[in-house]
Amino acid sequence: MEQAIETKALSKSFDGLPAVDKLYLSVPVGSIFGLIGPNGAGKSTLIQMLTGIIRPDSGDGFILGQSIRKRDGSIRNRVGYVPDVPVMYPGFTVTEMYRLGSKLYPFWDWERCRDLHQGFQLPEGQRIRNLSRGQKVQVALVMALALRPQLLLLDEPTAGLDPVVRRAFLQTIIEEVAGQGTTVFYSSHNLNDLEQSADHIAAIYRGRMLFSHTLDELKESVHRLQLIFTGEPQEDVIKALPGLIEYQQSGRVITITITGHLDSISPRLVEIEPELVKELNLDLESIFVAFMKAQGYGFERWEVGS
Amino acid sequence: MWLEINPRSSTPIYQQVVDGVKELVARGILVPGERMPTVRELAVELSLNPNTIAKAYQRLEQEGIIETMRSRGTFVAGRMKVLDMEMAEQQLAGLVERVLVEAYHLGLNREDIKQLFEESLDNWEEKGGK
Repeated sequence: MEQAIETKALSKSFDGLPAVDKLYLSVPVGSIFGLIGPNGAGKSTLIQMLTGIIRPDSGDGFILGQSIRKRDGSIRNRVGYVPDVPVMYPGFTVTEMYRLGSKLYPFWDWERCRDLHQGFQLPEGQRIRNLSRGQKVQVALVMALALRPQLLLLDEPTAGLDPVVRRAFLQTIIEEVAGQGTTVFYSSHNLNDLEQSADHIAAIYRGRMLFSHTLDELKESVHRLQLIFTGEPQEDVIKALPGLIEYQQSGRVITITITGHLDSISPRLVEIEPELVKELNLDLESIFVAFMKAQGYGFERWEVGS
Repeated sequence: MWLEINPRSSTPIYQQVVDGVKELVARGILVPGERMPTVRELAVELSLNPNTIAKAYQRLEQEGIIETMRSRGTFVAGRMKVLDMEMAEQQLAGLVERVLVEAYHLGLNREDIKQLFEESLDNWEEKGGK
């Protein structure tokens, strides 16, 4: 088994509207895999199908080598899940939740549970209903790790956490991956977190895969270049460059965002004779925004030759 | 071991780790024979992906900066002998050219550049650089 998660033409519609649309996804074992996409792209629907909470309409998915269509639930013994809004029994105390976890999960590890609980400084006797959202997320993470997972599914885990707790949360996940070889699949709008901790990034939009790369590949295959011309720039030629996803002009300075490796882009640039070419820093957030704009998502007026 | 990493840079993180370690060795902060943190230790310390650190270590080993002794860990390697002067020159020529391009746009002339280089070199050696 080399893929911790694999989906094949996985689809789910709600009231006739596709939320996840013939999605193909491969998540290698041992990776920290970040899932990004705008609101309503289908991220939560995908994760909920992987956990078995909702059933696919068509296509199939596999986690840890087993089909998600299997109904007996055994597949979830080694899968930790932290939803964006953790659902727990509000009347239970934190300790009672742990005790429930220990009965549900055959590989439950009390020592790990206590270590993490103390590390996060969570209140023991407190009832779930009295916890903040951030604390609930932490309890959910403690449980997800105490069950000795081979796969962690996290849906927007760091949203609403304060910076100190967010850092501790990420560090805990990194430790888990480094120590246990656990695969982590997590969706987030916090692209800075992902940029630091993920090694793979997939972007989905309208239920479909926009791209799926290692983070290094992604950074090496999307570039933001500033072209400075002494004469009039050949606008049409630049706009027709293959792989162009963003074009901005102010006078004789043109800034483009373009996909492809520099080795293949450079010869094409030489032809349009810029005086100077400068590569600008392009972080994950900018890459994402550029791709989204190219898909017509966003508010800005944006134009580019097709 | 602290490395300055900017996750938001266009330079891939593994490359930043490689460059950072190389700089620490060149500055004499990491010395030959010194034990490197494990992949796991460094990943947790810097809050970076362990696979990224592993990739960086792989590159550093290929370049002869560090060596892994089975079961004993990873260590800073002894200084490389210049085996292939031509290759070394080629590698540096590209970097020098970039400096020259920048220097031109900043309006520096030949003498300015020479002087700057001498000063940088003195400075480097004063701070214990090798």
